[in-house]
Amino acid sequence: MSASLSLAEAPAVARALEAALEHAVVGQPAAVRGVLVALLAGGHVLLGGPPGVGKTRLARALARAAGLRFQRIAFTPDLMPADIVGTQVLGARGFQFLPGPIFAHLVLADEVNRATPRTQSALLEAMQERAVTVAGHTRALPAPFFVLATESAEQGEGTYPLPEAQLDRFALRLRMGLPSLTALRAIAAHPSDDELSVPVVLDGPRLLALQTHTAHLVVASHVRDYAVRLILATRPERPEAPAVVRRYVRYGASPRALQVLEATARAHALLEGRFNAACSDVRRVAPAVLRHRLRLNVEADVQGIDVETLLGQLLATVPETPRRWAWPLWSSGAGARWRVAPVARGGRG
Amino acid sequence: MTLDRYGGSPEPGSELLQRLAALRGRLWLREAVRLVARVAGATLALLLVWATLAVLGLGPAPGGEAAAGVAAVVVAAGLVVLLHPPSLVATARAVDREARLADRLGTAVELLGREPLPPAGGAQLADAVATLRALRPAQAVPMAALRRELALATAVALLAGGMVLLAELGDALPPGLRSVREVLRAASTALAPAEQAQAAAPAPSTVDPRLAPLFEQLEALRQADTALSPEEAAARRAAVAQQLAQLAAASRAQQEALAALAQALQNTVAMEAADALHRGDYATAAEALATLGRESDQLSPAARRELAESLRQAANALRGLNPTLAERAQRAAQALSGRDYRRTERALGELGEAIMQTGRGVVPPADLGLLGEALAEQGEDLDTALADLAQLGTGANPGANPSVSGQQGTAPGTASGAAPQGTDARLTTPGNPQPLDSLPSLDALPSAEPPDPQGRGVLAPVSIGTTSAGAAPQGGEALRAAAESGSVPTERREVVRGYFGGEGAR
Repeated sequence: MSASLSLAEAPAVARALEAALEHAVVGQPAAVRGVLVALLAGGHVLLGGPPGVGKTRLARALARAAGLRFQRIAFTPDLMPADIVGTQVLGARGFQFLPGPIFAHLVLADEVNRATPRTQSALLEAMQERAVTVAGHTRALPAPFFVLATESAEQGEGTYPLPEAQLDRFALRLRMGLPSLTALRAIAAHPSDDELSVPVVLDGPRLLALQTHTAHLVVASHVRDYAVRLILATRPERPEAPAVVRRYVRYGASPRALQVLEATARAHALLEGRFNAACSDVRRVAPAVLRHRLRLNVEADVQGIDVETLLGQLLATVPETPRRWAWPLWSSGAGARWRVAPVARGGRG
Repeated sequence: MTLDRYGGSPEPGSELLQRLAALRGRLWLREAVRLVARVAGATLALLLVWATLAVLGLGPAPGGEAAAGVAAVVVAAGLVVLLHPPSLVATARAVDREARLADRLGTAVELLGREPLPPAGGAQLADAVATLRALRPAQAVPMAALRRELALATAVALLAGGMVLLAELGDALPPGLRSVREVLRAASTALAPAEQAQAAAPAPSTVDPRLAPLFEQLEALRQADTALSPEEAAARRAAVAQQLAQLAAASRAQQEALAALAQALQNTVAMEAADALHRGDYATAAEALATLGRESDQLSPAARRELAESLRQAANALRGLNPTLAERAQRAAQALSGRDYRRTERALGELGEAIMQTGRGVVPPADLGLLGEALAEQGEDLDTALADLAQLGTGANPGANPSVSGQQGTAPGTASGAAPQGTDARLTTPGNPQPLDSLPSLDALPSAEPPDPQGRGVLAPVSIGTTSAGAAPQGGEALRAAAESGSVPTERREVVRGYFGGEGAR
């Protein structure tokens, strides 16, 4: 497989990778798209959902299709940081470093919220720094490095919920739901060990090139402006925040959320076959970017308002074109807008 | 998607601009038509409203100026849009939205201004050009969106034109259209608020009919003012004043008689009748006494005795004021002292009838005051007139009311012959008429009692002590009491003004 990948080839390769995963994980196109968006944007994913919906299968299929070295870590309450990052052992020639399972391209952190906060912190630091420090020596993790963490049912027995600051390290939080009737029929007809038949579309260097191309995609000023307004609208103290945010949100999204929003919008655009991020891309990735970054208040709990409902209303409230009083004919230059039709939501792709 | 679509175009930027410029003209035209259609529709809608009002007779018909105004507004809108073409960025974003191009063109146009071009800029430009090549103008800037707005504007224009024609024709409408107009007018009348209908109805005259001839005499005097000598006019006004004073005196006598009866019935089982008498609601008072008579078998002996004693005292007090009422009260007292319930019922019923009869002789004080003011407006010195009235007892006025003629030798305006304290300067100072509007209005007074159901003023406050002294009520006192009571409702002032036309009204 060639190590080089041109920009012109990037959309097709990304689409091929997505097709391979959709073939392996039936009935979960949104989760497949989300995982690929995070992978291309260089972020990590926190994947939730009931057991048996294909989380591990998705991780394995991705590792195979992208040609990545895969490690799975089962997070348990007795798991120690050294069990993840590695440790020094005394050998015949003195201390030697035995790398932990985190030294892989794709790490599946299974049920990450079952480990103690100390262990969780070790993983999350490695995710952020892309390096681990053991006995005073810093060792870089292999590139590309991608963590796909799963979480068991929230607030369940024997779990340690991730704090907000550590949740922010995950680019996307995805949820895998139960498949539909059609998907279930297809799954029933599918061989159980089918991930071994997933075609290898990429390898590590080509994935790195794909990530680089993704980062170079163009974001127009009005698209960036929309992303900024979306982030600002999540903050209850801001005047532009919609009423539902001011009422139910305790605190909103961080600047890192804006960076992630833009990066993932680029990745989504590439998967859509474009070289520019559009407002529709921002809109599509926003729920996965923001759902774990918004903290709702007590009133939301009392009223039964969940973050998904709130995000839906937020996206419906914040327009892609700012509503300012301006006669369309008087606008000119870079800020010109013609309010000639309702804002289109979908991309042409 | 590959970059092959871009092909071998040497300069994607220039091709992009050329294609966008072609679409800009189409977009410009569409927006011009759209704006003109909207402005024309709105202006014609206003014209439609105007013409509809004219057809309903609520305003003048829109003429040529209105049509010129509509045309001017439409032309102005067209000029505005023609002077403001869309920019290329605006065109690109509009096409992005119309054709759902996911901001391809808008991003590409923005890239043209960036130096140096970002790494993916060239690919983006190529993608935008390839997309534009595949796009037909009708897809990029669809004109179909104008259909609805043009249809709406046309419909409004037709409606407005028809209504203007209807308004211009006036009464020369064809029968069919005339019936349409009548239907519209009927609908307008039916939809008009009740208050408006009431306002349109003529205001009923609220002046007591007994005073109407006097008002008419005053009006005739005012109109013939120049034809009469001052002495003759003054003599006629004095005659009116005397008649007014006689009416007032008679009314005052009836009022005082009823007030004396009310005073006597106070704090007895006939309290409801007493209250009604105080309010001037004589019908209710009569009904209350009749009811009391029908239910007199339920009265305790003590209550019967108390009521009988009160009626007996009232009969004594009324003997000099109203012999009929005194006699009925005396009979009622006697009946209550006995045990014959039928007789009691009959006696109290007759007393109620006597009250009704007496009440018919009461002229509302407010109306008396209005006539006095009307006299003052014509320069009549009321005190002089009242002084003349004092001579009535010497036979100066043979047609005077017997109740007044029996009060000879009493000074005008007072019951005891002395001028009352606090007399209004208007009544005591000759030739000093007060402006009508300076009088206190009933509206400004605290409403302590409910209004008379017949629309009359309440009884002027009277003193039983005055009448019990044997002094008969005088016309001057009644007039003064009416004027001092200030109970001249505003609407009645309008009636007075109506009597005296535009010149007399202030």
